[in-house]
Amino acid sequence: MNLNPFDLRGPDFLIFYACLLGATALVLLVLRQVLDRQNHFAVEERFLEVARDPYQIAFLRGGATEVLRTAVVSLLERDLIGADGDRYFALDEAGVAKVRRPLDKAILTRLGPPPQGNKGGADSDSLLTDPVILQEAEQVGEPLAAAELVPGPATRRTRWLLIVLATAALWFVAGTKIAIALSRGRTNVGFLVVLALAAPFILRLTLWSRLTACGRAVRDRTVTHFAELLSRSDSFKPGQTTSELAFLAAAYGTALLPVAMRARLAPLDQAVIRHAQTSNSDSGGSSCSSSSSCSGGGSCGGGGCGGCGS
Amino acid sequence: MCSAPSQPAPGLSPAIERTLTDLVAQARASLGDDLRSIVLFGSGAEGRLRATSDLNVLFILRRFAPASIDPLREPLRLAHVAHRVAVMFLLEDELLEATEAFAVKFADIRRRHRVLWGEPLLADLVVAPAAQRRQLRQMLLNLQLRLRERYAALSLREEQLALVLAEAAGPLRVAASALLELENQPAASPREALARLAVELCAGDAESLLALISDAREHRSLPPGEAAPALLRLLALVAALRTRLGTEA
Repeated sequence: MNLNPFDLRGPDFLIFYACLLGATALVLLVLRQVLDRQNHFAVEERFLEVARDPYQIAFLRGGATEVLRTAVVSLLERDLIGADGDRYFALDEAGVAKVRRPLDKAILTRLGPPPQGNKGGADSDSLLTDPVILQEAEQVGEPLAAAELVPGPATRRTRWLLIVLATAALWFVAGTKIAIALSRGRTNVGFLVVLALAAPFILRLTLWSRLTACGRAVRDRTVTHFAELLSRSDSFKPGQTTSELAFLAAAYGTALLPVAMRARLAPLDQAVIRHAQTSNSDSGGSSCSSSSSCSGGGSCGGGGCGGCGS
Repeated sequence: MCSAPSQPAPGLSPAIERTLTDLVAQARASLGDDLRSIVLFGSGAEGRLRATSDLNVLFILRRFAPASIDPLREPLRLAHVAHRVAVMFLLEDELLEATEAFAVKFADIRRRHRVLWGEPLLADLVVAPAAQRRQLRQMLLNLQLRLRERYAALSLREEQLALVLAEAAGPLRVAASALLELENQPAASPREALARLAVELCAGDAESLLALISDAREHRSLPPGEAAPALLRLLALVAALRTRLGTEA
């Protein structure tokens, strides 16, 4: 019995190669979890660092888009911005000077001074696409990357290295088979070429996660930590909260805010869904849209469905 | 400096205990030698925290320096948002004056407190009966005036009156507790103090009134038609408490 896989006929080799690809992906998945565990310590300390900042909580839960939504909630809560239909506008001429966070400054700068008549402010789409706002929202994730709650530089390098090595091995196998097939006068190697080219993308999908294991633990911890806040959410009245609504939005998303606040956020929530659907249809992926919290794997991040990390 | 280790406060959820532990650690780190004591007081200290109760914490300091307070702002905000922690910052030099000025409050703090960290500075706190009596008189009169105004302003919308009842219950219980203490008949808790006095002063009416007050506190609403009569009965109770307190110094 000939056990040399390179002697397998075309269709049989394709099946073998697909199994090899699957096995490689599985090995990488196990390796990722092993590597993640090395960083899975001091969850409580890391949780406390994150929990003090609603923007970091939001980033952990759903990436830059959730940070932006939380920031808008925070500015509405502070009466620094108002909402009218689809437009948001500044309420305080000195608002930019009153806020500390760069993201808040970027939003208020984009909105401009309080409107005269019907002019002024900005609609939800322009907030979601403003490059300065997006950059500042992404920057919120920097300390999380440094703490390896989202994959930081070291984790990304390791993951990329694993993908490169695994891809190299798979391509070596495919390349060898293609060479053998061509040397035997067989040219029906198209499917194998496609499978080989798809290999790094499949491995990337397998290996990548928006959060590390520690990041997921800290994210889950924040959900339980603010449970009492959630139970009080019906009692919050406009103008009577200090930071409660910002933390509520950060931990659970905008769908669980009091009705009055949800109404003011509706245009932004709808814009987020539109942008997510556009992004998914461009990439051919499945719909990832919700105005509520994204649990499990943090698959709703960035400007669209950021389940593949970045 | 003698500093007692943190004492766990019984009756609090693990989440709240973690929050308090973190707050104590942060306070020690940022306030350093300026921090003399951290005290949990009120219903949290006696393990009777309601879902709507604040968790009251007293920081006793040598001095209030913004540079050392600033690092505490985010942990305090987190504690307030997550568990309604409300902090009072008091300098040790102000303790006597505060006890005199807010005699009823500090008598209640002395009755219901737990030292979370630091020196037991409240253990020997003496609240002068005269100061207590004076402030209690003022509290009850103030409450009476406010309840009258609230009745006139809100009784056309009884769901808003229920909130008034809920908010009046806390100060009323503390007042009842202070009154019994002045009479050397202390009660086990402010709730029990109000119950005892209500029975003595309202006779058969007492139980139903107390039940309505509890209802209002728990659910922030009352059955239709109950809020306005309950508020009027509460007014009568406050008047009876004032009469019992008397006008002597």
